[in-house]
Amino acid sequence: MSPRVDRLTSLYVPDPAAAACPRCERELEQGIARREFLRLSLGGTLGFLLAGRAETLAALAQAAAAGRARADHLIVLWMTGGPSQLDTFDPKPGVETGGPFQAIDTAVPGIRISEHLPQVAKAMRELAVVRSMTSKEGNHQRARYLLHTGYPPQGTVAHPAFGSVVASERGRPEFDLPSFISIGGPSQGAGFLGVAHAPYVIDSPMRPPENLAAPAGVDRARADARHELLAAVDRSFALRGAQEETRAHGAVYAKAVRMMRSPLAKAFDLSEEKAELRAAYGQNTFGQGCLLARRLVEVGVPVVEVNQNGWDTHRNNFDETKGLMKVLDPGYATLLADLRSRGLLERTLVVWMGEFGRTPRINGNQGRDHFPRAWTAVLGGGGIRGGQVLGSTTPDGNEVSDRPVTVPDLFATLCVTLGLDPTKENISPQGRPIAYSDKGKPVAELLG
Amino acid sequence: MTILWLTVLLAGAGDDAGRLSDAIDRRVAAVWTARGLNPSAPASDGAFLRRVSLDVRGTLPTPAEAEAFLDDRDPLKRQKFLDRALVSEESAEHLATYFTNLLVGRTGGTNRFNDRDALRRRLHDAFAKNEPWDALVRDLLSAQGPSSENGAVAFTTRFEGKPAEVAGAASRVFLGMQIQCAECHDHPYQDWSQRDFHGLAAFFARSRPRPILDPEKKRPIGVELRDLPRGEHSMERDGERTVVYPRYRDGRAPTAADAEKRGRRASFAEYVTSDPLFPRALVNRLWDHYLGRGFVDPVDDLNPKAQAWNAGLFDFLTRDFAASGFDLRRLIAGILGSRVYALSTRPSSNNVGDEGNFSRARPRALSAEEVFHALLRASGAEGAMRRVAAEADGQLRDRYLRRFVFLFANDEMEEQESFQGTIPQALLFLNGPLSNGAFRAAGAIARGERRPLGTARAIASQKGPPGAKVDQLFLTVLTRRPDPEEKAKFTAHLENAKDLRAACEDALWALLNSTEFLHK
Repeated sequence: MSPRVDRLTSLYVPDPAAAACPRCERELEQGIARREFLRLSLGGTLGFLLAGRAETLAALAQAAAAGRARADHLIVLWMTGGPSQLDTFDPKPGVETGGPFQAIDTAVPGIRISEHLPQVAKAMRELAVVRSMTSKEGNHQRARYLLHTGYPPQGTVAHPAFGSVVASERGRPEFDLPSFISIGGPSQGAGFLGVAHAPYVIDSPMRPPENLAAPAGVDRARADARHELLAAVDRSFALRGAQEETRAHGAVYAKAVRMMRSPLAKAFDLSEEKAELRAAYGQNTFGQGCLLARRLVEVGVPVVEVNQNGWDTHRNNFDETKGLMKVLDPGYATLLADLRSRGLLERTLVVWMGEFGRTPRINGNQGRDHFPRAWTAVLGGGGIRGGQVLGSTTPDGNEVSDRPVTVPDLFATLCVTLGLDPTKENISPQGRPIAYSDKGKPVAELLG
Repeated sequence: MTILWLTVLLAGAGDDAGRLSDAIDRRVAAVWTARGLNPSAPASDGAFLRRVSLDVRGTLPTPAEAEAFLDDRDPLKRQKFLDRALVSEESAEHLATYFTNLLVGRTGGTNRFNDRDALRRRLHDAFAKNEPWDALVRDLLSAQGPSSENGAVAFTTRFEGKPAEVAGAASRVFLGMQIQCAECHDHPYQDWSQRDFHGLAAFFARSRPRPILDPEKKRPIGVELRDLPRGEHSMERDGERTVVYPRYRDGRAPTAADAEKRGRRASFAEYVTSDPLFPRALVNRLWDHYLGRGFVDPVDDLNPKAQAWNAGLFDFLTRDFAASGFDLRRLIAGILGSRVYALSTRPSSNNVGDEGNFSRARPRALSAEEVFHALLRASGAEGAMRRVAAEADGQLRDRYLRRFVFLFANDEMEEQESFQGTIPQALLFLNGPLSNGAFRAAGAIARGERRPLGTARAIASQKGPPGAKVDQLFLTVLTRRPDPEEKAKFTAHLENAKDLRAACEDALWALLNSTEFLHK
């Protein structure tokens, strides 16, 4: 349950010893996707046949005509390991695979979710629960890649994280903070978009980011003198054939120094918040991460990911998920309420998901295994028509029974709510056009 | 300059590797002539020393070494330094680090099926005695037993006995071919069917890794690999599972008697090491490693149809490597002894745009481990770190290294073509302890020392004028003396300072934060 954080170096480093499941830990640990080749999903192919650019533009136009403020920010609540849909947002009490948890009513008549999410249940008017997510990647590493980039891993292209795509669109060069910040986990790299759009990783929201403060005894004047010396050395190196290297290095340094010196860096300091509010979010990495996400959005950071680790519940699924929900429920619900009370929710899209769901079948260790075939994601806030359930699964939870939503569809929907054209393309270094969404079709029912 | 080159070439010409270097230079120069490229001048002594020291020994030269080298009038000093470096302990260690990362990644697989350290030791021994590459790879692919007896098993155990993963990694690393996608479907671009892939995987179907636990049965202290007498591999296609028997990509397959006698993996090891791609893959990888780009790029795209730069030279080096009995040290000495390797990064009259013909050296980014060791040495923390490690907390160094690996590397060991700085990296150098002397103080306190050590402190307290201190700082961090502008600026900073030690710390900070420090 504890975040895998190396205390000494105060930096997010996955700790292999802390992983519970020998089958998964290697995959989790490796994190960054390996190079493998394209595996076209059936869903992607169907999406291609169904989706036309015209339809996408129509969805964009519809959104604009509805006078809806498009979301400027994206917060992803990333459930590392793959959360169990049956024990959270798609409860099936009473059926053989349903597990011991009861379902409770929510603020929206007819929508019921797990009894262990009572605060989230009260916020159901803000949320659209998609119970018909379906994908094909059942390996952590590949699925993490898919659910962060919208594309299955391929050997030849390093796809950017969707957060990096949004950062490249919404980030302003003159902005002092990184445009994409990941809290408590590594998220996914910027791929071919380059490190300028890579996530800035904060291991723990409770500590200031590593090395952000100038060392003791180095005031502004002394720092400036140091930078002047550095500039002389870099000029000399550039003259010896390293213009490109010194330029890239200088750009990163300029950004780092601006961030150090910016008044916006105060956003990282949670001690400015009232104790009651901090307690409401939950005194734990995830809860405080949600609070930090709100603070970052408030000062203008376009994309924030907050990780909750521990959802790979191959063993003791019910004890584990109950504990996880005890942390998730106040963090998630308080985030929505806090954003709402500050007038930020209309402009902030909040997505809850992991890399896949978990099997309805309960294994011999009282656990549930990886299940990409039918799972749940939850969207809320800016641009989303809340208070609804989209799609459904069969009574045993083994199949999507209605309104399947593919990963490309999900990403196309995110694009539209953020005011981006999902068919817009980035060009990979090999000259290949890579659309923001892999031929997905925006889900019109979800758009507010 | 020409005279210098002649002497360097002549010095090398007496031996085998020298002839290899000459052949490289002739064949590369032919391309320059054909394309009308004027090559860059040879690298300066300092740049050469720094490059060889980092590439071969994995760290910077010591300041004393740098000073002695720059002042040495011996025309053969470069060749002599290279020859010495290649047989050093550090060289074996640095190569072992590189290949360990390549074989099992920087994290090394899961905790239970991981004895990364045993593999590193096995590789260190192999490189120290220059074990032939084919013999080493045969062992990596076929070794059995506990990792405490032979760390070579850790390549296979890393994959927890998943045949498809071992086969994919073996193919990528030893043959330069990415075939993993054929696990699930026929390869989109190459002649690889799903059955071919699983034919390779089947060689590993009988290998069983097992963690060796400590007496309390809590912590793994090693792994063991055994081949079972039976067990088959199967693949799934169109919803059907079918058994697949071992078959190499050229159709060779072990007979039942073979498999009985020596196990399937031994056959696989024999097929791989006699594959025509086997020497090519290593030559391509080392060329890429030391010169910044492979004959075929990327290095693991070595399919038979891949277009190679200078195919003649590539073939020549491949044949030579095989004919030499897969003599790794000779190949490395040949590449590093060449004029091509020792060019300056400074453009000539017309090669500023040359990216692919090696007519000037590309500034190459240091690896994570190289940054780590260079930073320890240049900041003066090396000695303290060694003592701390020896005395109390042996893990301290490893933890620092892990942090660097996290910040500066990707686990897949892809060579960086250019500087890819991130904000956390920049912040570490701007404000982190090692570039600001804080480590030194912490280390000293931990050891109860009264006088903390460290480069800035040591140089500040030396006798001599500020200009000499500036020279010393440049030699320590960048293995060169300052140019006139740098000298004037740095000297003025020291002269105008109220606190000389603080001024030396500023100078050291600027040098450690320079782009040049992160390149070779």
